[in-house]
Amino acid sequence: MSSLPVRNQRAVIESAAVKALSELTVTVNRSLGGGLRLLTLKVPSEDASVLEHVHAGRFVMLRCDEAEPFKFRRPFSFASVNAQAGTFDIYYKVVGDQTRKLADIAPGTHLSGVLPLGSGFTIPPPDTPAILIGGGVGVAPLLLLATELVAAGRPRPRLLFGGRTSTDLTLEYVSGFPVEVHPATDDGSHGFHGNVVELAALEGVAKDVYVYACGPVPMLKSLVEMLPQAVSIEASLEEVMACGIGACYGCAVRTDGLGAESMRLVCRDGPVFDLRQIRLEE
Amino acid sequence: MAEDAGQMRVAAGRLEFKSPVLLASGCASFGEPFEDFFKLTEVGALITKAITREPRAGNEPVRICETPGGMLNAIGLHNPGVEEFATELLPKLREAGVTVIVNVAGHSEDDYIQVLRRLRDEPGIYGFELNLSCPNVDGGMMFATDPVLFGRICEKARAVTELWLIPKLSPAAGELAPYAQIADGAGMDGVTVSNTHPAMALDWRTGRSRLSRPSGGLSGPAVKPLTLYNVWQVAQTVPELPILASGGCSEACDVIEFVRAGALAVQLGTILFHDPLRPRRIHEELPALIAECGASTLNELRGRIG
Ligand SMILES: Cc1cc2nc3c(=O)[nH]c(=O)nc-3n(C[C@H](O)[C@H](O)[C@H](O)COP(=O)(O)OP(=O)(O)OC[C@H]3O[C@@H](n4cnc5c(N)ncnc54)[C@H](O)[C@@H]3O)c2cc1C
Ligand SMILES: Cc1cc2nc3c(=O)[nH]c(=O)nc-3n(C[C@H](O)[C@H](O)[C@H](O)COP(=O)(O)O)c2cc1C
Ligand code: FES
Repeated sequence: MSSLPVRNQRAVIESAAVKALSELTVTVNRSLGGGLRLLTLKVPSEDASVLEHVHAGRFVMLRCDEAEPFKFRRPFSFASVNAQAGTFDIYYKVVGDQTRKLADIAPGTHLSGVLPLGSGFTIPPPDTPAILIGGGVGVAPLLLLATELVAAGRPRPRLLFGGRTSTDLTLEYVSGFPVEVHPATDDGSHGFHGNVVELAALEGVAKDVYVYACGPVPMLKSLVEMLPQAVSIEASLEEVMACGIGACYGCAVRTDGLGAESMRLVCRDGPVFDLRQIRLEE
Repeated sequence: MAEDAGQMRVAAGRLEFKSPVLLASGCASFGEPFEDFFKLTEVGALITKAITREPRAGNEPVRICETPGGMLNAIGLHNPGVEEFATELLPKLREAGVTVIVNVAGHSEDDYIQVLRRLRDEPGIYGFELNLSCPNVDGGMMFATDPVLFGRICEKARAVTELWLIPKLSPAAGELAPYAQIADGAGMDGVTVSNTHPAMALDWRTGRSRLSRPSGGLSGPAVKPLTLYNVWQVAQTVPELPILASGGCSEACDVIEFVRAGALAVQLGTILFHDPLRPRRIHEELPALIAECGASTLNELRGRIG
């Protein structure tokens, strides 16, 4: 459709690599505590090339329950990818019907997924520090981003990571990623007593920093208000999705653009957006 | 694709498709979401997202929600407008050789006529589906639910273009056969039966609609028996008028059911969201099912009910 922001060109060019695979094999599906889980899926070897196109911020549309073919697939960010093993990981939270079904799936089961979809985060110019700010399960794409930053020769980024309580932080799992974790909990059970935005304000964010965020809308809203205008914020957004491929126009978000440009599709034009161009609704 | 292309070819009146499987309006954008999954030239036709005179941003989120066996949508008429369609999107489809049917929407007779005038001489367009029944915009129902307005817009459209004209009937009109008769009388090339059904979904705790608007349109397998009934009714009343069935088609056997009830071809909508490979799978499965029905072509099965 009409001109996409330059940042999203990568996703457009790579769209030829999108596949609908009915035989993703569950190899791991285990609890990390606090209703959070880790799912590892193995891609059939003949389709392993799709993993080359997995980037932080992109996502997979998974059918969580093969017995219910007319439920929407559910979108999940890639938390990590292992090209050699031909696998990728989803870090997910049980919140409703389909994630409950997903939690019950035994290793060895086949799931159907469409991947990889959407645009990824941009890697900042060399010498530009990056700060990752994650709320709860929203940390998932930031973990892959940290991995990519370090692979690109950047220093381990700071991750300001907030949850309601310490079990939301799954610190053991997160410690497996190249991040310098600065935890925050609403109840003060671990790290800073308060939310991540308050923590970011306390630590201070320099003007030349790239901020990458993912989390609940109230968190993103207060982040935009708190950070100085000059700081660029890329965030991965969430909307209810039916297709994930730009076919249904269901996943729209309002932007500060005009006319038809005032709506963007999270699955096709995002899910990563320049947060300052988005009008967040709760 | 079918080994024997003739087996899948369907034709009636002025309409002809190399496959009975069409992509429904608003469920395939302008084809680009499916380029990774199948060749757009394999399907009978791509029916575009609704095109309006001016660009439209569509409704506020939340625009979709899941319901048993289907979904509700209140997308509105989110589209880039006729000018950008003609200059940016259509050329790509034309070059790729896709059979394009443009779905046209508007608020006034003039809106429809202006879009048809702008597009009638553009190469690459086979015809127009007149979306007279979009339930998700204010006042969007009037053409589809008022026989006089319906007849008039069909006649005016006919005066503008020789290309296929296919009004899309709305379940909101009740019995659809009278509208099909009017369409036939106005020289329409066929009718689409039908569109999403006006419907609601509430959050029981808050009492709020699960969409940003109070109601939306129901689609998906849940509506299939309703569509089948309407197709059969229309086919009984106006046997000569080609019918494109839309509402709940998901499987290859559904295609045969709709054709037996009287449809010429079938549109895939909601199922495309669940399975982007479905058109290809239906193409693979259909030939054997046609043979199982004792027919050598799908066209032979049209109207054949027990
Ligand atoms: C691009 C993208 C990436 C995502 N990545 C991840 C991820 O890596 N890990 C993960 O756990 N989840 C992720 N999500 C959210 C995930 O898709 C939803 O949690 C899931 O669809 C819920 O399905 P359900 O059937 O269990 O819940 P439903 O029954 O659909 O909903 C149950 C409750 O959960 C809430 N809910 C539903 N969807 C969301 C949502 N998108 N965000 C917040 N709350 C929601 C609803 O308000 C509802 O009250 C992502 C979403 C998007 C759009
Ligand atoms: C998300 C969505 C968007 C739609 N947009 C349009 C549209 O722009 N114009 C139109 O005539 N019909 C539109 N429809 C209706 C479909 O073309 C189709 O008639 C309807 O969904 C029933 O078929 P199905 O059950 O196969 O989906 C839309 C349907 C859905 C689900
Ligand atoms: S989910 Fe269908 S267009 Fe984004």
